[in-house]
Amino acid sequence: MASYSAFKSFSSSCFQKAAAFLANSIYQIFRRFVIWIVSAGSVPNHVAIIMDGNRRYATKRNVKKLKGHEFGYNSLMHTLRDCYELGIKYVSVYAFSIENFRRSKEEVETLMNLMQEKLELLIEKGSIVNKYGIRVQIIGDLSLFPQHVREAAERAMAFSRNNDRAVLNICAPYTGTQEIAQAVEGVIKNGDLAEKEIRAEDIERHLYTSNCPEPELLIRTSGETRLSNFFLWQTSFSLLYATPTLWPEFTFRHLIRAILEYQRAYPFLQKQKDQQQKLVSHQHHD
Amino acid sequence: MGLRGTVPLANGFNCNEQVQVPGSFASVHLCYGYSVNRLRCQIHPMAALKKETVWQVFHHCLHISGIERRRILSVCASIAESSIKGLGTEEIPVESGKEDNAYEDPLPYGLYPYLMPKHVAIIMDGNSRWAEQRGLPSTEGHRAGRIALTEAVKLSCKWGIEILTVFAFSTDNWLRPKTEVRYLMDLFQFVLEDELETLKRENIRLCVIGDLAVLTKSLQTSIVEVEEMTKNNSRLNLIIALSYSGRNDIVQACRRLARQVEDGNLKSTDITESLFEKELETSCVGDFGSPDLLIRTSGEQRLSNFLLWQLAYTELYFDDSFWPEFGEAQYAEALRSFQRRHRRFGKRVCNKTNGTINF
Repeated sequence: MASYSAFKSFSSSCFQKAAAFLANSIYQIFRRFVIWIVSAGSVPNHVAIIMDGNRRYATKRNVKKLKGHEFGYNSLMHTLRDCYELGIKYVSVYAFSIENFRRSKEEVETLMNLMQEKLELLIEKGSIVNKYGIRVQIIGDLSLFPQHVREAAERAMAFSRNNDRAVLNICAPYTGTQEIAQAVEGVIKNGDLAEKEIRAEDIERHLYTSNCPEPELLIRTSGETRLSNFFLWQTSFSLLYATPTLWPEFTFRHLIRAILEYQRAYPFLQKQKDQQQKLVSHQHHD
Repeated sequence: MGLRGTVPLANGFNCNEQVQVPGSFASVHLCYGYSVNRLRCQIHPMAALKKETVWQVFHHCLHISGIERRRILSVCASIAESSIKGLGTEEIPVESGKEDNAYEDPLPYGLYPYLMPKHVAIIMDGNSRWAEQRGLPSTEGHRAGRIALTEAVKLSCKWGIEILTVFAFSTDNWLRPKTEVRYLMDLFQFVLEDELETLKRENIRLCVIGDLAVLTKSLQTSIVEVEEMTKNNSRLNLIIALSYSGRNDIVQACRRLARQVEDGNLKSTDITESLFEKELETSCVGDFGSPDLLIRTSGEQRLSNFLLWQLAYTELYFDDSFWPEFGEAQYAEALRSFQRRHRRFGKRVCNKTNGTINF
């Protein structure tokens, strides 16, 4: 009798496992199919994301607000994997603003520790960095970070320096105004450009993102429609996509929806890009 | 932001409800009289509140309780200056049907005067598409756009917005067909001359920003003339971005700083964000060059190289209607959307120490 009930429970758990495996396989096949269809159209080369809504998500789930950032990190890993599978080569995320230093000491300290922890995780074996050959760049005024975070950042950058299949820009601590101000300072300090010769390209060369193309798509979660001092120069021609979903709830289907929106606006964006290029070539001929 | 929770209207009964104002020690005690024309607000903050702040709290109470302010006969606001029970009582009479001075011209429903943005920017997009939809040439679209702009300026004056920046012509627009560009330039010149009297009468100051060197000499002269004649006006600052590009704005500010460094008036290490901001073209309005709200019509969700530095913390609002169709209703809706938003500027809204109400 005992052996029969043991056999029954064993077989039902086997059945559950098999069912779960089957469901997962079907989902994976479906996901691959969607990626295949969407990437047949134009996919942005560079996507920028403002990851907003961690604390609100934590309140929703009735956990401590600072734990929301952990959920946010998990969401980031999933989204990065989806982006790289879709063929988006450059992904930039707004991790920490210089203005955020004005938050409570407790929150800033937790965020710093979280950042150090996750940066160290990134360079471990089996992490997404190795799997997809991602070069990690931490952009912003790193001198504002405490020592331990700065060292972790430099280690992460050194570790992935030779990767070239994809690029991840972690913007921390970053503000667009600081980036432009330091670029202007760099251009002027350079000294070999007379005042009349300074052009937009000179400023672009001194921006932190000088080795990346401009983002074609900017995604902001949690429903706010504002830039919050992120990528002010670089997003002059990007499609701004705001979704009310909170960042930890941002999944594959939300990303696909954003990409489809980009594909819908693609003809206009291309036209604008061509116009810009024509203008730049006119200016060079002057 | 403001008061939380809804206070149900009593059905003819006295209703006492206490609503905590988050971020402060103030709590608002609402009691309804039998006939809904007397609303008493009792505020017990740890610190004294100004009369204006009391008004703000009061109007929030009205809003969440659904009572129209015209129906209120009087307001009793008692402000306790310490934690001991209510010491001061201030009676602010409001006559039925008449409005207080601060709220002279009634705003559209749902808009609060103290939550109005100071600086609104508009990208006036969609003239050509509007004309195309109606089978008209694009020049008609621009003419209709001019009418819409006049209306927007009038409404901004009426609703107390202090600065209005409009994107009239971008550097990219030079690539449009020559006939259209020529028509636009003639239209700008005509409008400047035509509207000069209105600007003087309505006390509006005009500034034109952008790369003006590429415009025709006559247009440049008209612009300088109008700017000179209206420079002392103060009711509304109207900034028109003509032949403007946000990136070129930053480049010209960089050049100005480079010139100062070359002349020896400035060291390159002294360049800060605030110093840089003063060199941008929008510094003609002093410290308020950053818009609080940006409206873009015609449904496109991008900035198209308009005011890049200045839009760091601006609320963006995208409207699906074309610019010639943008009227009072659409403008009010944009402002309502703005007033509903919570602006944090990267920080957290947290005023536990000084007892003020943070909206």
